[in-house]
Amino acid sequence: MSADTEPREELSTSEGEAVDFGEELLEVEGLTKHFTSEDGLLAGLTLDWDGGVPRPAYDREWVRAVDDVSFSIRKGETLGLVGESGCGKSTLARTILRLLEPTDGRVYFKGEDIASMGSERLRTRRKDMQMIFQDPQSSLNPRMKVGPIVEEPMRAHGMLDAEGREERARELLEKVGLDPQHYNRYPHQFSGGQRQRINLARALSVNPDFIVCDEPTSALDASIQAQVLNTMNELQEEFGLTYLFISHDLSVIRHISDRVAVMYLGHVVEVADKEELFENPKHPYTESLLSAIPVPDPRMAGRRHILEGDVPSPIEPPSGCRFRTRCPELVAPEEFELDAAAWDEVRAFMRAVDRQSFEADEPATIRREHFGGAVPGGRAGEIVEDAISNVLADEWAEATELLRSSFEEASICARELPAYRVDDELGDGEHFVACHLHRDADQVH
Amino acid sequence: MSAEPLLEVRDLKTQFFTEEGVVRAVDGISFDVYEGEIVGIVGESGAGKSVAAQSLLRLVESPGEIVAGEVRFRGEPIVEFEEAEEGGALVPTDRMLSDEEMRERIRGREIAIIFQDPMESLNPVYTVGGQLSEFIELNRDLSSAEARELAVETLREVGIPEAENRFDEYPHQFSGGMRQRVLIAMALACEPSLIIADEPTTALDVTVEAQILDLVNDLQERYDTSFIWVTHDMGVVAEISDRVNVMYLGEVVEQAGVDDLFHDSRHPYTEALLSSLPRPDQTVEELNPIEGVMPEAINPPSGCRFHPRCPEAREVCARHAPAPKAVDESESGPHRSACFRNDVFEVGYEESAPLEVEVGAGFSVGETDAAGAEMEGEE
Repeated sequence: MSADTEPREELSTSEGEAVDFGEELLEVEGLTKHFTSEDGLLAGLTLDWDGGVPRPAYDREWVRAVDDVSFSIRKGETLGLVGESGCGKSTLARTILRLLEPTDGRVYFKGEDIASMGSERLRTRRKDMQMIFQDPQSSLNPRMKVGPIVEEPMRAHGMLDAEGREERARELLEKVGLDPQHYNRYPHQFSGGQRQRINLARALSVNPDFIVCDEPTSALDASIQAQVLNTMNELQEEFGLTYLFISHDLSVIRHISDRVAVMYLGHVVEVADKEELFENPKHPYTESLLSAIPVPDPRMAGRRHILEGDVPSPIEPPSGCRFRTRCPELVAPEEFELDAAAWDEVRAFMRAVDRQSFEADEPATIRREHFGGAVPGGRAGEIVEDAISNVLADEWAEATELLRSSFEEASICARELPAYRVDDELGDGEHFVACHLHRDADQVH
Repeated sequence: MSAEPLLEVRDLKTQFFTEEGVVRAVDGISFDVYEGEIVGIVGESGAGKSVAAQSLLRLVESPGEIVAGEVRFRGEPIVEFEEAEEGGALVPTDRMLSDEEMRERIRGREIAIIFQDPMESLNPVYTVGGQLSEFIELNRDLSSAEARELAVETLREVGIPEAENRFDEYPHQFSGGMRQRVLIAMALACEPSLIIADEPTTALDVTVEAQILDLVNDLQERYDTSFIWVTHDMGVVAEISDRVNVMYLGEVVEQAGVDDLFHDSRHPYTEALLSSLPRPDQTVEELNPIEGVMPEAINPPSGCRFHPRCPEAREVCARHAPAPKAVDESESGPHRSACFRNDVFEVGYEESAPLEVEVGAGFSVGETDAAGAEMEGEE
């Protein structure tokens, strides 16, 4: 994605070993992971009983957890991946490391495609890519002592002899801020923060280049979290590590990241340098997310716009931009020629009908409350009038469907997948945004 | 602020009698809640904030027990102790509300509680609407038809879309945020004067949390309900509270109006906690973690319980235990702090020798000085 990067061909000819700082260590292209929502061979089998004779039908539902995601990570940097629960960020991380088989797409690590690699090659490559999980308790075997836990990856990759491994384990324990004397203790003798340090030592033991950290501090208290984050920063500097840091916590992301990617419902919607993303967000979802975080300063309280509704199901995600069903800035369909105020009224009315949040009695009342007395002119107005008649006849579902198909689905947001490159004002990198508000900018792909 | 507090808590102590010993989970906390205000209780895990919240409604279960102190709601004793005539041990007084009175008059009707995990508070085999209307029917003496109508209205009020249709759905068909809204609806349904919310947004995503905080602000303005908001999140406290109690290891160490707490804090723990936080609104290059970990409440440190981790601890802090004292006064009431650094204590803090911060369990945090253990790269 970066302009000053060498072509990939050159990277792959060097057997994927030498990547300089600031150059792409990992490139993800169109990575996709779909799950069947039920397991088993016959899970998708249903019997259609209509017409007396049962007819078997085979139809599987796919959960589109990660869909066509592309980004890159440069050596030595921390890419923060932020999103709400269920957005697919952990699935993305696991698919990158091929702990899950990708449905489609490529993952180039030092120029080599991990997604299509043979299993033996993959096993040796995994030495360079480690992962740290959220729950420091369940990721440590309670019946193993700390020393052997840290040594295990080295053993698996045939590194050093027993003596050398023990020496290295002790060194690493000290590096991550634990007492090397604790080599013979069990995980339960440590606090949560200390256990996460053990996980760090284990990940570092095989001398990786790249560590995927999946919510590593989310289970920790604030003061302990700060200790662990500082240690992670120091280790990154000392060992030249590259992190993919996943978190739902924007404050942590802002502290630890160099660049940030924002995910929503399986799509990456915005990628930019940290300062650019936090100070100059371009995607309405990023803006909503930023304004939703409570700031630890009462003088900053109350300045926020609240996102309505819930995240839709990843089984049938919305077409086009997946955020469009909740987006406060949905682009008006061109054919209606509505001004901004009229379009706002139409959308507010559409939401109110969908949520059935008002009582339908008099058409005049509805017009007054939702449109200030007069519905918009032209074709748009006719549709609104039809919807009002539906509502008065207690046909809420029909009204919702009519409004949705006429307005929301006619918007460019529903018809085209957005992907644009906008000017980066605060950083010196690139700013990718998947939102049609920026359709004057360069299109990506 | 009105003259009489709605809820008065004085020297409340709750202990857990375990095999390893007595855990002093809540160890003598005092605070007031006035009509129409939101009082925050903030602290890290193990500080005793949830036990404190449960103690207020006498919901502590064995091996836990409220052993001393007073809790008064509109002057009525929810918890009250006196010395026994023989032996001088503390026993509950006769005036203290009986379990039956607590059940029938106080819980739900006057004081409602919302827990962190809405899935555990709702019965998975009954419909959401059924549970809500049953609760209303029992507590407000309404017919079942009236209760149903009120239930639908309350669901609509807390922002459940298509309230009428979703009435007959089961808890698992609701999202986490929607379930928490149902619990808020349940808490509101009996129009209580006080709602105790124990980490109600901790399990929720930020955008959903924002929706709930917004809803609570809205409802609080409309009904003038008082809230006690228990959380570990300083951001949420800043957002929602009028006054705040900061807890550390079973004690309230600082108590102040929200603005004073954040901009003029008078306790090193509060200061340290705030400077250890990464911020969403500005880039913090270096975090200042608090050294060590919070000790167990089973064997708390002598003197001030924070002194082993406190960067400003003096020798006197290890010998004497400070009780919160008013160090300042503002329109939001007295600013109390339990730290000898404040002049009002007059215990000779200035003259006392500074303590080296001991870091527990022999591990060094923050700085991982290489000290000759240089790691060799494999490549």
